[in-house]
Amino acid sequence: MKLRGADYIVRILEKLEAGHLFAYPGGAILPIYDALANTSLKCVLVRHEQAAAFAAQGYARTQAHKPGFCLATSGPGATNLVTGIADAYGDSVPMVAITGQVPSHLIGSDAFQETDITGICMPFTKKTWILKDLSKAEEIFREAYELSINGRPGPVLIDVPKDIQEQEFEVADDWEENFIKPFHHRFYNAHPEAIDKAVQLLSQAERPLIIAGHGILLSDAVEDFRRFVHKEHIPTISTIHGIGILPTDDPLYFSWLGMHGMKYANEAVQKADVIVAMGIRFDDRITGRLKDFAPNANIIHVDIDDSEGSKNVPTKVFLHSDIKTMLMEFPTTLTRSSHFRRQVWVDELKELRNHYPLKRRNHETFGTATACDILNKSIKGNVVVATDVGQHQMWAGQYLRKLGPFEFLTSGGLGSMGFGLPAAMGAQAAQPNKTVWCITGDGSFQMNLQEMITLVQERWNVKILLLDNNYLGMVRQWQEQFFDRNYSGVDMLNPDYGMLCESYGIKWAKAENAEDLKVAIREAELHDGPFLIHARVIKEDNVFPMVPPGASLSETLYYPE
Amino acid sequence: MKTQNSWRIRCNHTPEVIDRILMPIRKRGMSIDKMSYERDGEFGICHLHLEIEESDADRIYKNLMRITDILEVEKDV
Repeated sequence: MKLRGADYIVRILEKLEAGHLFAYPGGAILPIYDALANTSLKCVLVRHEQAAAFAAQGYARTQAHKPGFCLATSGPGATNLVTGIADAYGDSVPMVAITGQVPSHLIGSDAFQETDITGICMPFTKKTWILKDLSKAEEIFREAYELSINGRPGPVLIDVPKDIQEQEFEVADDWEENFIKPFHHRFYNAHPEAIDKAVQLLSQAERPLIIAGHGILLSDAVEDFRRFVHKEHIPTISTIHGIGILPTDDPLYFSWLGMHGMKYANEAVQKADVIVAMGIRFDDRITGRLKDFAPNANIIHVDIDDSEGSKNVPTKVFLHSDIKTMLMEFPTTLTRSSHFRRQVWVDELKELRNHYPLKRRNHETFGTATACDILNKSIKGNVVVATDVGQHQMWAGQYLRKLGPFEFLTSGGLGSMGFGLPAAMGAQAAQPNKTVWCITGDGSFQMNLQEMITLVQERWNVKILLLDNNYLGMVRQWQEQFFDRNYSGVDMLNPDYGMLCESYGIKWAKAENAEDLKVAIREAELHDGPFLIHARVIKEDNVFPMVPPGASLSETLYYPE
Repeated sequence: MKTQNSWRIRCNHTPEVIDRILMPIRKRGMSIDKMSYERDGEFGICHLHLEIEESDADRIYKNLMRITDILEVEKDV
């Protein structure tokens, strides 16, 4: 039978169970949009293509092994996806981006709305394709899907010239019955000698420590990991992406480490003699000064990407494997005597935690940290939180202590302001039965606030906690600490957020103190619709603990008096 | 200290693979001295010759190993 290219592509997306397509139309993608009018896919019209890419990420980040899909036209539409695609690459989030392109015969002629998007995205995609021949369409889309979810997940991009979309193509009558959707498959390539070495190191360890990262979520290995931690009785810390892998009150969990992680977590790294790093990449935000990172530890690194082995930090043993498979294969090392030693170490970490606790907030001073603390107390589970980037992001990570796996979505590797609201949208689309909060600052929020109308149009009940201090807070903090309080370019005049909400048709409430906020949160939770809380917080406040740039984890600054 | 590096890269033959091979070198502002590429059916063989610091060589090697269509990198051939 004959199919138009656009219809064929849309049908392929349906066979791939793309679900939601976060998209924005334009000339070069019109044929596909024409086909989408009759699709079973949920095509969401965003108001900026960057939001489409972030929303696709939010969708993917709330679950394992399923990519988010975004779609844009050529030229500026495609280039507007770039930040979101780079962000997905930075955090290893599976995503399939599809862009329209000018007709094939115009490529290279500097045509209207022509950009070399496959070239532009090459550094931060796993692979890109230009679909030049519809006979390759199934193969390419299948490969794209498979690549995005397998191995180390990440974004891919398919560029489709307009004439290809318009072309008539002969397909087999039974092509749909024979279409096989790619699936996630596990990977195990650890050498037996490496396993033996790891077992030996761990068995003899006096102060073993696990660092749990995003790879555990990506591998859908949370339950296996929790069992492993308790079977081995090893204290565990996480990266910021690992929030929720263990419950905050798990007796073996000691919070997250890094630049704004807990001082006791950083100290744990510096004291450990064996570190088992699972699904982390030793990003500079968690290592501090590399040459002084974990000075006493032999490192066992488990990761699906063997290019990470000794990339930043020298590792004693690298186990090249999917985390879930490794957890099933790894022998028990716990004995009666090692249990005793590990318990002594756990008790030492508890002492450290008592000595350097998270600062209690008295709620009299209404700052961002207090607001996050108050929100934490109201959370009853079944929640997803998406943050933007900045001080509020760090405080959210510190004070939200009831989140489970896949419930804390944050732009870590790229640190993209503007991520929060669209990511929250994508999360709501993927998890319609969960309450989704977007925690954002006045700087980040203004980068994608246009998506408020998307919330209304799609009837997504996202709750927004807007923490407004009229500053680009994290930049101001650095200027205070490292540039002699020379505040340059950080003082923000903001719109009237209440009027803005009303013009967008979103219910809102103002909060100027802790009691206001508690009332507003209750109102937000009871309201059947999107809701924004405009929290006017204190202007100047600093996130601690902090590892200053260039310092080691041992030099973590605790709260100054 | 800069050293001469001569690498043989085996890859899938795709439109973008040569660009991807050069990416880790270009983004560091470095240049190659000599390069050859030859298709071998569905695969490609690329020879790179470049003079760089040893630490850069390690990093570039790691970056190359992450690229999807690169199958094997033999150093110092």
